[in-house]
Amino acid sequence: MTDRESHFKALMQRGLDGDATAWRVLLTDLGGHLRPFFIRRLFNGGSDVEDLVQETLIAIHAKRATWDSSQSFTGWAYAIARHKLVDHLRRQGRRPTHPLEEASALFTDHTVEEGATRADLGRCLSLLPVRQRRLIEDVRLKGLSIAEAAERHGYSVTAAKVSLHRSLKTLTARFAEPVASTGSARDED
Amino acid sequence: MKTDDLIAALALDTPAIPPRAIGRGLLLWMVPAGLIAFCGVLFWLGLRADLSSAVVGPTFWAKAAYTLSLGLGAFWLLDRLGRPGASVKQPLILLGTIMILVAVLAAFELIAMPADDRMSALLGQSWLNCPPNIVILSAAAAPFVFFAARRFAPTRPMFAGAAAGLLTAGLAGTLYGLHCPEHTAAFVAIWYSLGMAFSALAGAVIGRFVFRW
Repeated sequence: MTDRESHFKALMQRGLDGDATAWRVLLTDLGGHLRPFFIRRLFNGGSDVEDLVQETLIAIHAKRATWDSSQSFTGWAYAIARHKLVDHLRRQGRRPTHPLEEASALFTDHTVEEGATRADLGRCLSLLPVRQRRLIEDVRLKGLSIAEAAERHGYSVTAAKVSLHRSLKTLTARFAEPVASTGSARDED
Repeated sequence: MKTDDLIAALALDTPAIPPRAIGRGLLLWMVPAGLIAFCGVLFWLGLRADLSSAVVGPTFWAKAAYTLSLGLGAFWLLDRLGRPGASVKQPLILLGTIMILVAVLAAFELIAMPADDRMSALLGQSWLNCPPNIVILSAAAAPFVFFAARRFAPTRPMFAGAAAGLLTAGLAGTLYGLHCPEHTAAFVAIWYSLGMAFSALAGAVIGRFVFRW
């Protein structure tokens, strides 16, 4: 966390001194953090994400003079990203349906956020063979495309799809509640 | 447009930016803003007749100290509001302290004087004119202040607008002291504050539209 902060802070300082290369690296790195940040908060996963990333990068660029070296870079960048997100949701006539977390949320690793949920999830996934498990983690949790994940784990794309399907079937068979007995009660909440 | 292309395009335009560039720019734009308000006092309201004797007395400077310090607090507040993620606690505490201090001073002054004099100390000769005059002088100076403040990036545009309005009113109120002959703390605490509060309120509305980014 502090590494990241000092990494960005150094780039920011050089950018403000007129160093175009540092500025380019900063925007690129930041884009990498912004993308998953917006994906997690938009729910529709649509093309809005890239628009928002670009809008935020433009704002970061245009308003870079508002950053003060005594200030946290992560806090500054987060506040701008949040402002752009709220603006976007407002334009769509929607309000964010969950509280927006503190600055660190922008820079957390791109996985499921709740520790408890993650632990539960890990336990569930441990039922699967290791290779299947890695694949489903990459696709469903880290957000890689099936093609990317397949390549990473030495599957063909088709084989990866089959494997994913099997994994989900296994998990559903093991954890899904019998629909008839609890279905109506579940629907209430 | 692809994001990489956008980044490449943005990175072509990176002139060096000196520290606190926006704050200094804002200070610079306060000069024409102050000149306009000063002209308003000079040609429209007129200087107070006893100005030459007033400037050697303490009340003239006490009034100026109140309006100026509120203006400085508002400048600080605006500077913080204009930086995403920055805390506004300290400038708010400063502004609150100044107002409480003057309110307490005014209360003591009223308590200390004979009951019959209190009403005239409160209302003076110009209580009806004071708040509107400060608002009008602020309005004349406001375009410069808001224009300069647009370089900030306030995530709360109305709040920032109120701060910019108060900053303008701090300047206008101080210059209004060149016209206004009132000399009691109670008068200043109520009517000057009211005029400045109206300006801040108007600033909040303006900020909502002007501080979009």
